[in-house]
Amino acid sequence: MTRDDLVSRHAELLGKLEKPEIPAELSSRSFLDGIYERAARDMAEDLDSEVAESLSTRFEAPAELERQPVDPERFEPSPLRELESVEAPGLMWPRLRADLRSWTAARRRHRTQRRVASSLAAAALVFLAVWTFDGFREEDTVVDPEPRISIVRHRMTSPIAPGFSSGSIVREITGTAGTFAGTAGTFAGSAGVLAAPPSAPDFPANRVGGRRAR
Amino acid sequence: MRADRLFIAAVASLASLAVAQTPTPHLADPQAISFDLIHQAETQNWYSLSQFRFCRTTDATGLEQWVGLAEELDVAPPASGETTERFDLRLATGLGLDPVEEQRQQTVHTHHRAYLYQHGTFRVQDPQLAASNYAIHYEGDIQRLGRPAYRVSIIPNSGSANCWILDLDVETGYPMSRSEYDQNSGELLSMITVTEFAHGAAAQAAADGVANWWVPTHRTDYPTPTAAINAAARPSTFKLPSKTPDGFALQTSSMLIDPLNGNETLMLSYTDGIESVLFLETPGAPKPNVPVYSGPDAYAILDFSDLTSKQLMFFYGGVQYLTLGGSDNAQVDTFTENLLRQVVGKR
Repeated sequence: MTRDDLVSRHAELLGKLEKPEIPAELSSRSFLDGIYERAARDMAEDLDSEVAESLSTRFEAPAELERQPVDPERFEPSPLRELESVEAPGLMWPRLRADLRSWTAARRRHRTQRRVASSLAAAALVFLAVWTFDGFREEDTVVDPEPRISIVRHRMTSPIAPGFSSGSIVREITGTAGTFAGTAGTFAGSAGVLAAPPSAPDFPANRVGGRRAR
Repeated sequence: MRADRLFIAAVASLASLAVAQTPTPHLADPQAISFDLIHQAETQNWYSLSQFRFCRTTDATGLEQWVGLAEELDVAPPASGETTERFDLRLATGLGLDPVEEQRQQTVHTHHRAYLYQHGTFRVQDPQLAASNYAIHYEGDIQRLGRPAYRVSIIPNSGSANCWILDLDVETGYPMSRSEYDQNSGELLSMITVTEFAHGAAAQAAADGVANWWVPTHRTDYPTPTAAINAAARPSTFKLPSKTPDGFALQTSSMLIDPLNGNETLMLSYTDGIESVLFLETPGAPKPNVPVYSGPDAYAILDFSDLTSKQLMFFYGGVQYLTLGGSDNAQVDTFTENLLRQVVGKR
């Protein structure tokens, strides 16, 4: 007898048995809830008080989760689909939420790590580019090590060093000597102010353009 | 026949004697006049002369006047072992002026005679530099004191100096007249003209007995600027200019000592061949009592200019820096501003 034959024989025999009567209390909702509550109480005794308290707290399901449309076609066919839909007990939500939180936190950590790594890589690339670029090397960079100054001219009406100006020297010598008629040869004294400019040749204007004696 | 031969020989001898006694003119060809010939003429012969010196000046109120004086000048070739000619420049005397006033004039003139002779008019300071910075143009033949002369004009190549007209004595090459003109307007600015002239043996005979050759007082010349400041009491108080005016070369390095307060002054003389730029640096000089603008990065330069000269001065760190040059010489400005930046260590 093959394995298949054996299975078929057992099914035949089981089909001939009388169907046992199911206790009515098993089909009640309170019975199933009592099982869940006892299981939760047993588990709470094994956990820390904090964790147990958080687990015992009832959370409302997020509204967006309830409103999200579900496309049945996206799911694989399963024998479970034939079963009667049973609402998930409220005690499951804290765990789901904790899982969601840990998953989100893990994803956030991962994203931060990637961002830091990317930033470090970019900074390294920029530093390498700056280091190897000739234009920023010290010997090629125009550096202004000394600040610029402004120079203010202060005009003087009298010579700073009268002894280094022939005009000032001659004026100092002439003093109040009066009129000097040197060109005429009839002067009183050896120096003085001329009544008229001395006779001199005109500057040859043909030598330089525009330089003509007035 | 013999008498004829004797006559011819006598004539030939007289002719040859006459040729031998005719001096070779210093300036044989007017087209070949050079700065070197002018420099030789001024420094390698004996001269005894009188001259008028005229200057066009403006006073503090802006009033423009021509002032003049009469001078006597003796020049002799350099003494043995020297390189520059000797000179004695005096204010003319015995002209009927009040004795006290005449004495004052003589004192002032004597004090400044070196500057008047060396920098007070046209003078070839360096023939080679002059040839590279100026051009000579022959303008024609004239007569000066009954002597043949060539009139030439001196034109700067760069346009940063004044122009000159010289009347050069053909026989000696000496400038019988020197007229200075503004390079832009062509206006006459200053003039020296010779009124009496003797040269050679006659001038030597006149000068030998009376000339009081100028010798520098309170001044010592050194071969280099570094040698000059090393000879100072406190060499570290001096700063040498890092740059020379463009087109100029260092001519002399001297250390002056003020007989009144003992202050030392470094004096450097630069020349472009004709014009001079003088630089004087005096540590310990009193700060000028003038209100000048100042700020954290602003520095003042005192600026005096007249028709023929420019004087720029600044004071920093207890040291006075003074630059002197021609009125149209832009190098005086550039040199002084560069020096200020160098001294304060900023640009």
